[in-house]
Amino acid sequence: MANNFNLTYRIIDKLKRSDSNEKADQHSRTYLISNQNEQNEENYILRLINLENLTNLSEFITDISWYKQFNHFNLMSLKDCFLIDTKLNLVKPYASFGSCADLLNSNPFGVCERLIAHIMWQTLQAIRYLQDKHILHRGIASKNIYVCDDGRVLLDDFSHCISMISPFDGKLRKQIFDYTDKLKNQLLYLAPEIIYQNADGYNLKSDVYSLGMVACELANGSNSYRNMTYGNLNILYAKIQGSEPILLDETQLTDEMIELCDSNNSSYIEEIRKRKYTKEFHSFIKSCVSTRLESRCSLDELQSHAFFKFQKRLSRDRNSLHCDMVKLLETYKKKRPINKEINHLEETSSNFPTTDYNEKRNLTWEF
Amino acid sequence: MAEKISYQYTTDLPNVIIEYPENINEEDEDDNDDDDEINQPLYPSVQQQPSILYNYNNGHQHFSLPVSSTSRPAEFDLLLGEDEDDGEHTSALLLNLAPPTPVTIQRVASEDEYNFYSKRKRAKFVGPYLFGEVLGQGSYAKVKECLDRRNLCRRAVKIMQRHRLRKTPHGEKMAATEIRILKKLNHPNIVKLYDFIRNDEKQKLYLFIDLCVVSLQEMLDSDERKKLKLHAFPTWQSHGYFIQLIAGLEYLHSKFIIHNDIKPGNLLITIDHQLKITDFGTAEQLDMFSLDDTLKRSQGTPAFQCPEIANGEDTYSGFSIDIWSCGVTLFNLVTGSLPFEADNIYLLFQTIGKGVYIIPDDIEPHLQSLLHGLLHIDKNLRFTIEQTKQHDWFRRRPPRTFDFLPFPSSALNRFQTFPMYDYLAELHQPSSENGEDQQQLQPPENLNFPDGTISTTHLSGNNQQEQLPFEEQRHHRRSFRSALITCSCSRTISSDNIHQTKNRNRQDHRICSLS
Repeated sequence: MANNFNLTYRIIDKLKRSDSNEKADQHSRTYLISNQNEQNEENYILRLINLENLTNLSEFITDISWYKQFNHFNLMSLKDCFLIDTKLNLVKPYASFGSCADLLNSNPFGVCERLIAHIMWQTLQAIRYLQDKHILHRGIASKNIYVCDDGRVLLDDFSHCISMISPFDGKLRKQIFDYTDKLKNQLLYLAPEIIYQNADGYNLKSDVYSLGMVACELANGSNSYRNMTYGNLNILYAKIQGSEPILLDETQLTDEMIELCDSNNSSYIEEIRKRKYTKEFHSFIKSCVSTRLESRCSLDELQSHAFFKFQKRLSRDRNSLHCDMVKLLETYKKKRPINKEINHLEETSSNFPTTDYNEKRNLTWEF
Repeated sequence: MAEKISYQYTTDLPNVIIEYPENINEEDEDDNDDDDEINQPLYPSVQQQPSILYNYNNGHQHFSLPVSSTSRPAEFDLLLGEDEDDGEHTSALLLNLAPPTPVTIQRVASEDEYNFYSKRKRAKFVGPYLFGEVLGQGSYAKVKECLDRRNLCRRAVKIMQRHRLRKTPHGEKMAATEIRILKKLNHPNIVKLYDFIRNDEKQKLYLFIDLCVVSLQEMLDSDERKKLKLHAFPTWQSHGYFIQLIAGLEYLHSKFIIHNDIKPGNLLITIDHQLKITDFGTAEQLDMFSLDDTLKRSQGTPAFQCPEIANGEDTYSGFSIDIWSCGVTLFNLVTGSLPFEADNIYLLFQTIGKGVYIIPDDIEPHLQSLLHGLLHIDKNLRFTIEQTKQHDWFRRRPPRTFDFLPFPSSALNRFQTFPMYDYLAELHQPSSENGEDQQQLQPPENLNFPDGTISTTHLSGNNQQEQLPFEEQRHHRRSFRSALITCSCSRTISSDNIHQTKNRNRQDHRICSLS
C-alpha cells in the first residue's frame, strides 16, 4: 500500500488535554490534523507517541489490536496507524468538544440533565456492543468519553479491556479476578467488587458502576471520590463502607449545607439550590452505582430505564436524536475550551516535533 | 463506656498499643516496626508522604502532652492539615478526662469488650504497603497479607528476620538465593516479586509477592476432599495444574535454574486457579558457561527426591531431579498418596533407591505411561520436559467432569473476609478521635461487615444532620479544586463523612421507595 502519510495529513494545531500532566506529555503529543485527500478536508486527531524511551511496547500492540476488533458507531475507531522512525502515529476521529472531562472543566458545576441522558444513552450502546462480545471495558471514565459536535459520543481507551473468555481453556467465565497495577489510574471509577479482589470476582455488571460514576460526575461537576486525604486507601475504605455517590440538587440540600456556605462555595450552593434533577435520573444513578450486585441493573435493564425514555423514542432515527443533542450542545459551545485556538499555532510550529515532522518529509520509510 | 477505656489505655502512651494475651508476641514485633517506620532512613518515600501511622502517633502524643502541639514542625501541620480540629478535640477530651491517674480496673460489658478488642488492630506501613493479617509461618520467614496504597493491589509479603535466618542452617544463603533468583523471573506460573525492601536497622527483609489462596498440599489435606468422597483431584483438575507446572518449570529450566524442591506444598493456587511455583530457597542457578546441568548437592523434601540422590551418588543431573519430583507431585495429585512412603528416612531412601512403586488400577493407561516415564529410575531414560509435553495425556485435555475439588473453606474465608478492613478502619478513625456517637455507631457495622448487612443499620436523625455539613463541604472543595490545605476542609475525610455518605443514602433510599 503506497500511502504517503506525510502528504495525506497536515497538522493544523496542537491539542492539549485539560487534565494532562507533564509526565504524560513527555512521550506523546496530540495534534489536530486534516486529511488533504478527502474532499471536505475532515479533521482528525493525530497522536504521536515516541517509542524510543518506552520499554513495554506490547501494551500498544494489544491496544491497537482492540481497536481493530471493534466496529461500532459509538466506539472510537482508529483511522490510520503507522510508524515513522520510532514514532507511532495514531489517527483518530476528531471530537470537537473534547472529552467529558474537558466539558466539566469549562462547566465546573456540571452539565444539564438532558445532555447527560444523551451521553449516557450513546455510551450505553457502546458498552452493550462490548458486552455482546463478552468484553469488559473497565476504562469508562469521563476522560475517555468524547463528544463530537455532530452529537456523536465516542468511547475510547481500550487499554483496560479484558475478555470474559478464558485465555487458558477458551471457555466463557462467569467471573474474572484480574487486577493489575495498570488499573490504578482508573480507581475512581472502578466498581467496589473489582477493588476488593476477593473470591467473588467481578463480571460485566462492573461496567455499569463506572457508567453511573461518570453520570454522577457529569451532574455534580466533580467526582465524589476525588481528593481524599489518604488517597487510594480512602477510596477503598469508602467503598467498603458502602458509600454510594449521589446527585446534588435541591432535594439533597439541607439547612446545614446552607448554613455552612461561605464565600468559597456559595455559588455552588446557589447552583445546587436552583437545580432539580428528575426522579428518573436519581433512580438511574441509584441503580447504577449500587454496591450490591443484585440491586445493580444489568445493561439490558438500563436500556429500558425510564431515564432514557426520550432517547428511546428517538432511537429509531439517529438524525433527530443527534439534532436534539446538538441543540443542547449549542449552549456549551461558547464556553468550551477551543484548544487554545489558532494563536498557538506559530508557537507549536517552532516546537520540536512539528519541525521534526517537516524534516522527515523527504525521507522514505517502510514497515 | 468503650471510649472511657480507650482513654485509660491510651494515656500510658506514647506508643499506643494494647496487648491482649494471645497477641503479645506478634504485637511486640510490630512495635519495633513502628519505631523504625518513623525514622526509617532507607525508604525515602516515607519522608515524602508521612505515613498515617505517624499521624496517628502524633495525634496521640499531642493528646497526652497538649503543650507540645505548638512546637510541632509546621510542615506536618500542612501536610496532614489536622491541627485545628484536633486541638479542639483533644482539649475537650482532656477536660472529660479529669482524673490524671488511670483507673486500673473497670467493668466492661462483654460485648463492648469484644468490639473493642476486635478493633484494636493497628495500621502499619512499610513503604507504601499497609500490612494485614499473618497468613503463614515458615521455618525462617513469616507471610503476611498487605495492600499497596498506590494501586490497591492485594499482595503477600514475606518477612525474613536476620536472627531467624542465622538460626536455620544455610538460612542466610537461602534467602540470598531466593531473592537473586526471584528478581530475574517473570512468568505467569512463577511467583512474582513485585517489590523488595530491606531494613538494615531492624535486620528485616520484605519480599512483596503475589497473593495466593492456598497451596496444593492444603487442598489435598482439606476436609472438603473427604466430604466430597474424592480420594484426590479429579483428572481434569490435576491435568490443569500439571500443565501449568510444566510451563513454569520449562521457563525455569530455560533460565538454567533448578528448583530442587517441587512438591504440592510449594505450588500455590491463585483465586482464578492459576498455579504459581514458589519457594526458591533451595533453588540453584547453573553457571552460564557450564557444560551440563550437573549438581553437587541437592536439598529437598525426602519423599520427593529421586533414586540417584537416595542412593547417594556424587553428582546429579539437575533437570531430571525436577522432573522426578514433578512425577511424584503428579502421582500425589491424581492418587492422593505418595509413591514412596516409609516410617523413617533410611527406609524411605531404600525404597526410593529401588524405584519400585505401584500405580493404582483406576488410573487410565495414558496417565500410567506418563507416570512411568516421569518416575523412571534411570535418569537418562527419564522423560525430558519436551517429551512430557509431547505425551498423549499431556496434549489431550481430559473431559471436564462434574466433580471438582474446591478451595478449602478455611482458606477461602481467609481470603474472602477482607481482613484488611479492620486495619483500614483503624487508619481512618484512630480511636482517640472518635466521638461518642462514632463509638456507638461503629461496632455493629464492624461485626456485620462481611454479610453486607451494612444497609440495615438505622441511625437517629440527629446523627445524620450533624454529619451532613462535612459531606457538603467535601463536595465543595472538590468542585472548586481549591487548595487541599484550607483549614475548614482539612478534616473532611475523617470517618464521619464516610459514614455519613452511607447514612444519607439510606435516607434517600427511604424517600425514593416512598415516592
